[in-house]
Amino acid sequence: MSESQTLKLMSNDNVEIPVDRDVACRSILIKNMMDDIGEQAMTEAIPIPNVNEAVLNKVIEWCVHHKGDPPAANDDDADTRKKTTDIDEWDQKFMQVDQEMLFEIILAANYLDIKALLDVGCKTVANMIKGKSPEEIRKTFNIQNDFTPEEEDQIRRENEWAEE
Amino acid sequence: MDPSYKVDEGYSEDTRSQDGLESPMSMEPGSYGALAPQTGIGGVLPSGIMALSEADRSEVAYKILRTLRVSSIASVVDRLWPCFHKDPIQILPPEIMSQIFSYLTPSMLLEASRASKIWRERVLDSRLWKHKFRTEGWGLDVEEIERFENNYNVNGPGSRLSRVAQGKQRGPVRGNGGKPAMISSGRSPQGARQRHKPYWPRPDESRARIKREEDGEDSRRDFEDNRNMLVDVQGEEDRYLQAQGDDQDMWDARTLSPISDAQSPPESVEAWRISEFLQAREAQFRNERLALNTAQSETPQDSSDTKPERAPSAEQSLMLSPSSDHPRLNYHHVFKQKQKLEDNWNNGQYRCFQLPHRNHPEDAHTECVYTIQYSGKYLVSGSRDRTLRIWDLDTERLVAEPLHGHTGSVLCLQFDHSEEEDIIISGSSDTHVILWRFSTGKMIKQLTNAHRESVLNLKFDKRFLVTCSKDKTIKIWNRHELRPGDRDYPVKGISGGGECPAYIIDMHSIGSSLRNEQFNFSEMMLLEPYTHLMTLDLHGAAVNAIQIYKDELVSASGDRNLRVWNIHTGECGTKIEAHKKGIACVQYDGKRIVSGSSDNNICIWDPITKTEVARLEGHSRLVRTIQAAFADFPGGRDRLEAEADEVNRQWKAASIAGLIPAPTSAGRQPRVVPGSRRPRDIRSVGAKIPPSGGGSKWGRIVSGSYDETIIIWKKTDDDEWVIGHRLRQEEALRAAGPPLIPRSDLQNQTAANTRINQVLTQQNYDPNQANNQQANQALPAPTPQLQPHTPQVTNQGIQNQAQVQASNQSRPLFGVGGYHATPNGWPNPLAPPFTQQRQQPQQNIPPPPQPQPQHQTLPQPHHAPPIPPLPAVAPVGQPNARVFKLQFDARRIICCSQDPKIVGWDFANGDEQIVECSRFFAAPQ
Repeated sequence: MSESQTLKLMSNDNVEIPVDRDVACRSILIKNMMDDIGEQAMTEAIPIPNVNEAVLNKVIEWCVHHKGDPPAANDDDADTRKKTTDIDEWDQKFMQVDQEMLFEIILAANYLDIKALLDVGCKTVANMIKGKSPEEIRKTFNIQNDFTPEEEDQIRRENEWAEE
Repeated sequence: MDPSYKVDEGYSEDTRSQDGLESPMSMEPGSYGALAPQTGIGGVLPSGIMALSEADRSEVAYKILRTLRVSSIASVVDRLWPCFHKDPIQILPPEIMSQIFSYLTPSMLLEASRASKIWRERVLDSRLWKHKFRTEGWGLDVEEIERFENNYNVNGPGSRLSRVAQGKQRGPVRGNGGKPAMISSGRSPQGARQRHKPYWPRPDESRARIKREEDGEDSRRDFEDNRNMLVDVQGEEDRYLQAQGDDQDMWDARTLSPISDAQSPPESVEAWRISEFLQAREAQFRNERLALNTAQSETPQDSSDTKPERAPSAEQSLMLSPSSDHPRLNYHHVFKQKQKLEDNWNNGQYRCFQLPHRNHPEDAHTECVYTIQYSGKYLVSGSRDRTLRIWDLDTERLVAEPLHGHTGSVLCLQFDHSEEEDIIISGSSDTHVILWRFSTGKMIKQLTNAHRESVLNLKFDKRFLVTCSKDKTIKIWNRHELRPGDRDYPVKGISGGGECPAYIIDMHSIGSSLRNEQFNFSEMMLLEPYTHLMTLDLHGAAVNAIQIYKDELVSASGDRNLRVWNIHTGECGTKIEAHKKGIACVQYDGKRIVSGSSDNNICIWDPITKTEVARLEGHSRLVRTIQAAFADFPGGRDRLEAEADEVNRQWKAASIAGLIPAPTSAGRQPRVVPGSRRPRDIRSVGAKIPPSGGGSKWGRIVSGSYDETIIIWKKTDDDEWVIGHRLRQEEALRAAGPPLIPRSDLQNQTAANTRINQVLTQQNYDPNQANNQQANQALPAPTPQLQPHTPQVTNQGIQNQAQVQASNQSRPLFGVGGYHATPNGWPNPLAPPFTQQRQQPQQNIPPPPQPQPQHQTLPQPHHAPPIPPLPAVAPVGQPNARVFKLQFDARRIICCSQDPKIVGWDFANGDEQIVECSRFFAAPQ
């Protein structure tokens, strides 16, 4: 019966979004909430105060696509070997959004406790840093260089140990 | 700005409300101006527009833009740039940034750290680097770190004592015009004298210390440790400080106003002054590296002297908040030192050192050294000269007189210098096992005739002592009292189990009535410590090496087999027919067995499927000693199995595709790169560990061989084992200084040598050995000192003697030195000389080694040109470098060989910061 059950999420701009229960349960926050307050959760919209409609729709889109995934391993170290760029194709496409949206998805995934989405988001940002020079990183993220040339020299020397 | 660049990353659905848009942008520098005019424009916008939906407003905006010239559009887009490019550090919480950073390699991270100050601060976050350290597969010595952090401000470098010393130091230094003159002149003769004065705790002192440590008053030992560590680097430090003379005022940025000296000084005034001085030096040296911002509050009067802009960044300091109540290790610094250290291993950057210290050859063993172990600052060695010696690795000096007690070569030992254990256990060709108190060097107990023949290896843990012997057996002994029913009481009466002596109770067979009287029964049947519990007698030849891992015991024998036993029952659950010749050494870490054999190979075994996953071919003679560290990732067995499963899956796929060549009829597998995961290279399909044995890229195997080399095996990026470096024992010995074979021993040994020569000539000894002698003959002539010792020897006699000298050194090849091959597996089995000597005690020569006084008087170098070489006299003391035993830790390889000197390679390579951090690196595993 749980297959067909839907519940409603309320974005912070007061939009109600219906969503399948098992999709919503990708969010550990919502899952725990439902476990705690039981059936009541089915009837009233669950307010998601930190997430606006557009972001929430994105997050739900992700959850729908990944609803069949096996539950995330609880082991942080399990994937150390494949750390850097391994993002599956669909997720890569999914993450092709503007930076503002990307960061908001990450924040929402963090808030809603959707670990796999948080991981994909973080990897996406990591990939935006990866392989870039400091100047390119500054451009990418609109960062002001607040180092003096002397400081830059010093840091370059201090960093020499890790050159590959 | 390149517009196409923006188009790539600047796709926007404009999902934010206006509020949302505003907040991040308000952090941007106003120069972009995208935001500032908004309200103003809003004022001129038709009021109806703001009431439209977002989609409609977008449409309006688009239409307006389309009315503009392209250059104007571009200018608008430029002003909108900050909307598309946002600094995640300003938006995402630190823990998420930390996760993002955790996906990046150290070099990428450090590039990113150059973006801005806040980026640098976040990237250098200590916790991030601690995490990265762990996920590299590197181990941290958690206990040591805890101890260090907790003691840092109590007894350590940040302690009040050191500040006292520092405060005193400050006057002269500053009064000297900022020049470090006082420091150079302060390199007092006291310090130099102190250096080689062995520190050895008196028994009562060490006892007392246990109590004091509980009170947190082990400061004196810290003094000792610091002193030893510091003095060794003093030369460099001086140079460093002098080079840094202009930065003088940075040193004492953290000085405090002098505190009156209320601490009780160490026992002697001299010792106190030295430690005080050194503490001051260390404090200075350390402060120079400390982040200044952590300490300035303590020194308002000095803050004007500091130059924050020139201060070393936080990255360079060992400790975070060093002056707070909770100083913590800076793991970025620790990671960096570890990386530098690993680079030194990979690049072969090391410094050689030796025991004994160059200036103290009298400390040396007088014959070859068969076994060593080191732990912390101590190394214990056992030699053919029948003694054990305890060394301080910091001073390279003996810490006590040699331990006398064995009547044969010391072949194996293990020690634990922790206060609760305080023990050395040694085994000898005299068949005995001796227990020594580490701190006193006193014999505690002797297990007389522990075996019928030489005790070749022994290992102990908290529960058991296990010995193995040339007599083909393994014996298990208890280390603590045992009563029937205790967990570690041997399980007797199991079919296929070990053989227990009659006094061991078979708990299954005793009557219930007896068991009901548990108390009396137990007391009656109490087993004293070091009672022989069990004999394992399934090997068909000498058992050369053993290893305990939890409840498993792995043995390696001259019968070419490896066996895995249950330590409680003595059952042998696993037998692996491992090598083509006898096996000399073995290591087991619970996941894989590594063995070295006289077939010159090293093999890695999956103990579950009993299969060979890798064979490392690189030595040309017997592999006598080995240590393997796979540097496993956190996560344990599952990960290994997952990797192995993937390899097996690919093999199956390749097999189905017909890509796997059929095995040759000879059964000889073609030589493949060890560790290779290419399906056709797989040696053991179905193994539960991957082809390399698994672990991270930092895995390392170090092997020592009778080919006189040590190989450091490392992993490629493809997880294959390759020879990283080949160290030549002989070169290290040469680098370590002139040969140490005591001249006086020559005379002493003459008689014995003649006799041994007879033994040797009766045997068909290894032709390679003869070649060695020929090679030796081409080497430098004997010293003039040789002659007075051998006046009576005829030319022929000298020749014999020379051969004997060389052969004598190499006798272990034939089985004396704790390695025994099966008669079939080894071409030239020899009756071990010591066995003979035992049978002929009257002729038990060489005499006890007492020549130290003579050594001191003998000039080491040849000062006169050598007289015309006597024909066929092997150069006495020429390094003979068959490697008997080696050990490595995060930083060093130390090994012993046929030469009486113990040599080491220190991959810290003199880098003081690496040395400082090495204590935090867990032993390789």
